Amino acid sequence: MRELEALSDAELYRRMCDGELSKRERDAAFTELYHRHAPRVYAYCRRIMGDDDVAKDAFQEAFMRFYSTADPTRTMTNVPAFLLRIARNVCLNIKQSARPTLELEDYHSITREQPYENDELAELLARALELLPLEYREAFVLHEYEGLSYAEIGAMTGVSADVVKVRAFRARQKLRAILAPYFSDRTEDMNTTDE
Amino acid sequence: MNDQMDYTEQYSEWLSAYLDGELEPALEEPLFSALATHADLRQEMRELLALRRAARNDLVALVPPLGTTAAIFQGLGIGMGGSIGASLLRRLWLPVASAIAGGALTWLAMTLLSTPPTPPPVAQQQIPPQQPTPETTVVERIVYRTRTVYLPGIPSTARAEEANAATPEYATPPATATTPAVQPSQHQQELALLDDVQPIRFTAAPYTIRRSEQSQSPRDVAIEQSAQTPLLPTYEHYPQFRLLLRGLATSSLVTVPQQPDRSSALSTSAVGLFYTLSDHHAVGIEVGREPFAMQFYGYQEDTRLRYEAYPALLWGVASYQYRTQLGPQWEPFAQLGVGATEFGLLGRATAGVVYRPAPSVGVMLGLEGALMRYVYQSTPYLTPNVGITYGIMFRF
Repeated sequence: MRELEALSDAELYRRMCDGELSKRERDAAFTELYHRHAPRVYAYCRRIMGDDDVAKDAFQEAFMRFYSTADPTRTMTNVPAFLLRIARNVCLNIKQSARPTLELEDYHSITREQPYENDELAELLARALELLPLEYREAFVLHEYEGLSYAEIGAMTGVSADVVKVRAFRARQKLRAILAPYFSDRTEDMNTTDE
Repeated sequence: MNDQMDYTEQYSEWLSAYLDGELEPALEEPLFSALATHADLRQEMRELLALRRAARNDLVALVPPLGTTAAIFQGLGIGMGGSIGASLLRRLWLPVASAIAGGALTWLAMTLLSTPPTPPPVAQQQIPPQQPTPETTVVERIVYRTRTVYLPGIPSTARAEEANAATPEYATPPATATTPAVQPSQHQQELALLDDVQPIRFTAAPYTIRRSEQSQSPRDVAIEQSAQTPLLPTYEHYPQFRLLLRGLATSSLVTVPQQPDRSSALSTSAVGLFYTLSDHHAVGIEVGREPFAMQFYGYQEDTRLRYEAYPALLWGVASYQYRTQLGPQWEPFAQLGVGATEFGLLGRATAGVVYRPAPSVGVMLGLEGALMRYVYQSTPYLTPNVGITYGIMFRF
C-alpha cells in the first residue's frame, strides 16, 4: 500500500487498467485512487444535487462507472477532472428525471429561521445553490468550491471559457439576490453595532 | 435609467473579474473610482467577498459516508480486507469497557453503600433484655434449622412437647431447666399476631434463644435474642432489581444533512438493570443504541475535510437513579449516567415518571438528554441529543 501512495494518479490508473496484473493489484490501485479523490467528487455531488441521498447515489454511480469503464488505451492526464466529468454526467442524468422541490418563497421562510452562527452563510449558500439553474450552479461550484479555472470548466462542460465566466457571474448575482435578506440583516446588525 | 443599469452592470462585471484576478489592469482605476463613489458597489463587493469566503471556508471536500464507500466496494467485488473487523473492534471496545466499568462500579456501590437490613418490627419491639436474677433460671437452646418457634408459655405442655418433637435439631436442654406453663404476655401475643400476618423467614444459620423464667412470677417471661445470633428475618421492603426497557425518541442539536440511522427499533432503544439501594436510591448500568449527529473536521495531507454522519451508536453508561413516591402508583424519578459511545465519552440525564398498575410492572415516560464528546485529530467535538423516552419497567 505504501508504494501505491507514491504513485501518480496516471500511474495508478494505468495499473487499474492493466490486464496483466492480478485483480487484487488492480483493485488496490482503484482503492488508492478512490481514497485520494472520493471526498472531492462527493462534495461536488452534494453541492450539485443538494439532497444527500441523491448525492450519495450519484457519487456511487460515478465511481462504479469509473471502475467499469477503465480503458488501458485512454491517456489519462487528470484523474480528478475525469472523475468530476463522470460525476457531472451522472448528476445531469438524475437531474433530468427530477423536478425542483424547493421554491424561492420557501427558501426565504427558511432563511429567517436560521440561527446566526459563524457558519450560517456557508449553510445558506449551500441551500441557495439549490435554487440556481444547473449550468449556473455548476459554474459556481466548480470555480469557487473546486477551484477550477474557467478554461478547465469549459473543457469539462464543453463550452467556452467566456461562457463559463458569464455563467459564474450570473450565479453570483442570483445568489446575492437570494441571500439579500441575510445581507440586509447583516448590514443592519453592523450599523447597530457601530452605533 | 437604462444607461444607469448598464453602467452598474458593467461595474459589477468588472468587480467580478477583479475578484477572479482577471480584470484588465487598464480597467482597475475606473473600477476603484466607482467603488469610491458608489455605496451600492461597495456593498456588492462586500457581498461577493462574503460569498467567496463562505465557499472557500466551506472546505474543499466532504468525506463520503462509510456505508456508501462499503456499498461501492461491495458492488465492485472489492474486499475491504480486515479493516471492517478492525474498525468494529476499535469502535466496540469503548462501550464494552464502559459497561464493564459500570458493572464494577455498581458492585462496588452495592458493597460499600448498602447498609445492613433494617430490623423488622418484630425485632424492634422486643422487650429489653432483663438481667437474670438469682431467682431466674436461664435456658439456652441452640437452634440449627427451624422455621417455627413456639413462644414459651403460649402452648400447653403437650404442645410444647409437640414443638420439641417437631424440632429434633434442638440441643438437649439442661436438666435444671423448668418450663412451667405460663400465660402469654401482651407482647408475645403481638408477636404471634405478627407472625400470623407476616411469616418470618429465618436465616439458616444457627442461633440461640435465651429464655429467662422467674420462678416466683411465671407470667413475666422475657425472651432475649442473644447478641451474636442473626435472628433477623431476611425482610424485603421492595424488590432489589429493576429491569428497564425503553425507547429513545431523541434528536441531535448538531445539524447534518443526513437522516438519522433509525433502520431498526434497536437503533433507538436501551436496556438497563438497576439495583435498589434504598427507597430513593438505585444504581445500575444501561446499554443501548441511539443516533448521534456528527460533524467534524480533519486534515488529510493538505486537504481539510469535513465529515458528516448521523450513525446509531452503541453506548453504555453507569447510572444513578433517584426516585420518590407520589401515591401508591406514581413514581417520579431522575437519573444520571456516565459512560461512553463507540466514539467518545457520554453523559446522560433522564427525568420522568413511572406509573405502576401492578406492583412489579410499570410504564415510564420522561425527558431525555445526552451529551457525547469525541475527539478527532486532537480537536474535541460535542453532540447534544434531546428528546423523550418511554418504556416499561419490571421489578424482581
